[in-house]
Amino acid sequence: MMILFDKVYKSYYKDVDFARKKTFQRIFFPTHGTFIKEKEFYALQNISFSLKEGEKLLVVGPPRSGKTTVAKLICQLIYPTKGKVEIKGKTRWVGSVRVGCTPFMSLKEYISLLLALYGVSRRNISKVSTAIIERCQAGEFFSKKIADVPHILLRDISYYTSIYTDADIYVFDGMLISKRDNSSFEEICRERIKKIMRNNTVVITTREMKEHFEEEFKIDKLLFLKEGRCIYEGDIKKEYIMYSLNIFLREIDSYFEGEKEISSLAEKVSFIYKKYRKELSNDDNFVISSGVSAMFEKKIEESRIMDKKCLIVGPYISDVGLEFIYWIPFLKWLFQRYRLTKKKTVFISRCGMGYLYKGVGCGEYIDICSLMSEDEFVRMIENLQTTNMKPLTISPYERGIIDKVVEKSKVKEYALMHPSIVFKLFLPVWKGLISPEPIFKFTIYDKITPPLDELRIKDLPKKYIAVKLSFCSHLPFGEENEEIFRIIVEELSKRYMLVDLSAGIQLDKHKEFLYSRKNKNIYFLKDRKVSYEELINIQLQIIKGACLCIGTHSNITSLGAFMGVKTINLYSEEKGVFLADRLILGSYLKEKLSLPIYSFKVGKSNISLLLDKISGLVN
Amino acid sequence: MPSLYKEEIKSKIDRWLDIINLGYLLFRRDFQYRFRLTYFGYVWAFVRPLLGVVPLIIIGKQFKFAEGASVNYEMFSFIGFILLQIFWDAVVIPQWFIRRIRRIVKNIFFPYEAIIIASLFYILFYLSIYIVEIFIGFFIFKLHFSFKVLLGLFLLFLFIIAGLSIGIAIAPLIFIYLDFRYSLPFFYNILLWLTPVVYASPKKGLLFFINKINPLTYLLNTTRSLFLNADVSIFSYFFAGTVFFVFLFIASLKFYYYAISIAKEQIL
Repeated sequence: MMILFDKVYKSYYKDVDFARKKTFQRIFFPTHGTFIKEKEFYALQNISFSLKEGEKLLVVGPPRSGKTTVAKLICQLIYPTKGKVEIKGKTRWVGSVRVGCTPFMSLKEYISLLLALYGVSRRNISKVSTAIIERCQAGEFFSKKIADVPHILLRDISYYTSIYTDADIYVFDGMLISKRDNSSFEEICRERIKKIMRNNTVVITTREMKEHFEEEFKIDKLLFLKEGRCIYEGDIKKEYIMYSLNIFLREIDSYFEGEKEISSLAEKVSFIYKKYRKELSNDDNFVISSGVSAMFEKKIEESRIMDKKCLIVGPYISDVGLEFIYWIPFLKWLFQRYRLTKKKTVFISRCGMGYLYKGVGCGEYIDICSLMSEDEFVRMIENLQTTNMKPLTISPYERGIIDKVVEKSKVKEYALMHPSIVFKLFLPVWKGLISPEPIFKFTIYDKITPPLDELRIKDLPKKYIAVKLSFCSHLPFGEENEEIFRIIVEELSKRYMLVDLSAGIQLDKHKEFLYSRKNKNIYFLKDRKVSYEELINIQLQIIKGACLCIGTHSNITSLGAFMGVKTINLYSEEKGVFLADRLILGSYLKEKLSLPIYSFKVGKSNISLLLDKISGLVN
Repeated sequence: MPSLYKEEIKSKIDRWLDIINLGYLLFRRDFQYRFRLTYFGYVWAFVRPLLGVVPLIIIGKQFKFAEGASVNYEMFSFIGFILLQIFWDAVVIPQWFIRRIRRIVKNIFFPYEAIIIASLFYILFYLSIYIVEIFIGFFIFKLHFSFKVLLGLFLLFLFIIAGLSIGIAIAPLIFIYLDFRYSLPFFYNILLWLTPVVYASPKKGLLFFINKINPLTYLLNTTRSLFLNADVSIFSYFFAGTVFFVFLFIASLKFYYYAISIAKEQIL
């Protein structure tokens, strides 16, 4: 091994006086003292890797991730606080920094000194310095004093001397080939670096891998660092995956803080994904998702939900589908993971969703509809529909709702768990930027026990199919899809009684399909007086009694499967924002919880096939 | 000798010659800079020891510091002072030097022996001036040379080793605290009076005891006696003092390599 890092830690001191004191102590008492969190910080933690002769290592990470510390340890410019660093051979830090020159020495003397410092034999110093001067086109300055040599030329000479002289290990801290004013000199440097990359062991540190993509040099290994920890160490074959991870790790912080839009992330990784998506293996995806997941857990811990006496969860005012597919399963995970089940909790949602929150914890449920009049609620939803229904920040409406809840519950000190944190976590999945791994990691799915209380509506058909058809990104509004819905409803109503779950209360942006009111075999819930506060509870009870549920993928009919009712989820296109992960999720849940759930890609040509399937399921 | 060993020895010699060359280049770089920034240039190197010793000679002669010694007092104290100066140069120069090349130490890993070699070049430069001054003194005071002077010249290197044994241990610590640097003149003054530099060792009393436990006393008295063609009576003590400093030098060398690798992180 040319380079061996074995469980290496490197700590620095925050205060310069304290650093001196501790360093002095360390010289005389090497094992003295323990890590003091307030005064020290780890630049590297438990880093292990090795590099054989001739191998090339790329160390990637955002600023302050420990890249330069690794480089300095390899060049023996610093020592490890803990662990072992073994270096075989002569190392060379490649850079343009002028070291060791004084204004009175000649350029020739400076180069000779630099060469001697780099370990060039005294016999070769003259020959090598002549070659360097020639390549840097500095012949006219050879005997002149340093004070008279142009600054840029000195920088070029320092750089070229560092790459031209022989070493066993070259360490490039920063870009492999830095841009030079002189293009012919840049070409000379490139030629030399090509030779180094062919014959020597090389370590390159970089913030981004983009530069590396532009180079033709082959890299063997990759070390990904984040805040001094190793996120990934291994094969470079996955470099494009790691590049994406790098971007995520660098930007996910500002993304979670609301400073960056998902589109900014998407833009940066999209070219990689477009190029390599087919080659992604599950393992690769897992690595990226793990990086995102790690940042997410950190954000949850920063929200200090464990420390406060009371926890306010919500308010949830987005799509119903997202609520029971992601938000509530996430809360189940959160409450189990952080043992919050006995904590004083207030869940805030709307339209009678409280029943589904019972599976999360034993908290109090407050319905938004109980805090305002129906007119106020409708106006709020209408206003929200003009903005983004998937909140990535807390809106003024929600702030107002929280204030009302705090006043009503007489809560003094509370932590807030707002749905935006989950939207932010899952948005990269929904956008197809990362694998659905975070969804599996941060959710717990269970079957739902149907509501036991007696249904207020008494005139439901004895045997019926619960239906809710609406348009969304994976079943977009248009003549063709309207026609498909019309045929399905017409054909089904010839054979079965249908109960339309729409109650005329618009909770999200999705346009509802309008059924023919003349059809006598359709039972319209909107004809019964249903209050806002009882809406979802009634819908659940209707679903419970149905022989089959059929609806647009991920709307409330999908809940039927969780209650053991056979359910068909319809979609027409595989390009919706959420669909890809939900198809995977659906298959996963079908297997894991034995849910009677069926996804069906519907088109004009296969309606009869769908009807046959429905017949098979009902009978 | 098998050719393998030959090769190994040859490469080791080659490595050391490269280190000496590096040490020389570092010395040259510093030397040029140091004297360029003065008006009188190299004259300072010659005048420096004289400026320190002349007042001491005048006072010492007035108060008959070396009444018992049957030698020329001016040369007695001058040689004593020069010997102490050689020792002190070897204590001080490594820490001067290491501080002046701290940016190189911070940015490039190179054989740190070169710093000692560079310091040695400085010490040898001053030593050559001291030797010239001693011979001028011989000429002025019309003292005759004996073959013992050659032996005395050889022993001057022991003073260098003795001084380096302290100097190289202190040098890396300069990166952390400059207190070591600032306190050295104070120790120099103490050493000047605790070692029989400008006085002859008394036969009794506290100073007699202090001189006796000071290993530098034996090195200094013996070497000075050789220069002045006086009797060398306590050679065994001289030998013990030499062994003491040689062992101290080896220990300091080990400490130097270890400490510099840690202390260099504190270079600001």
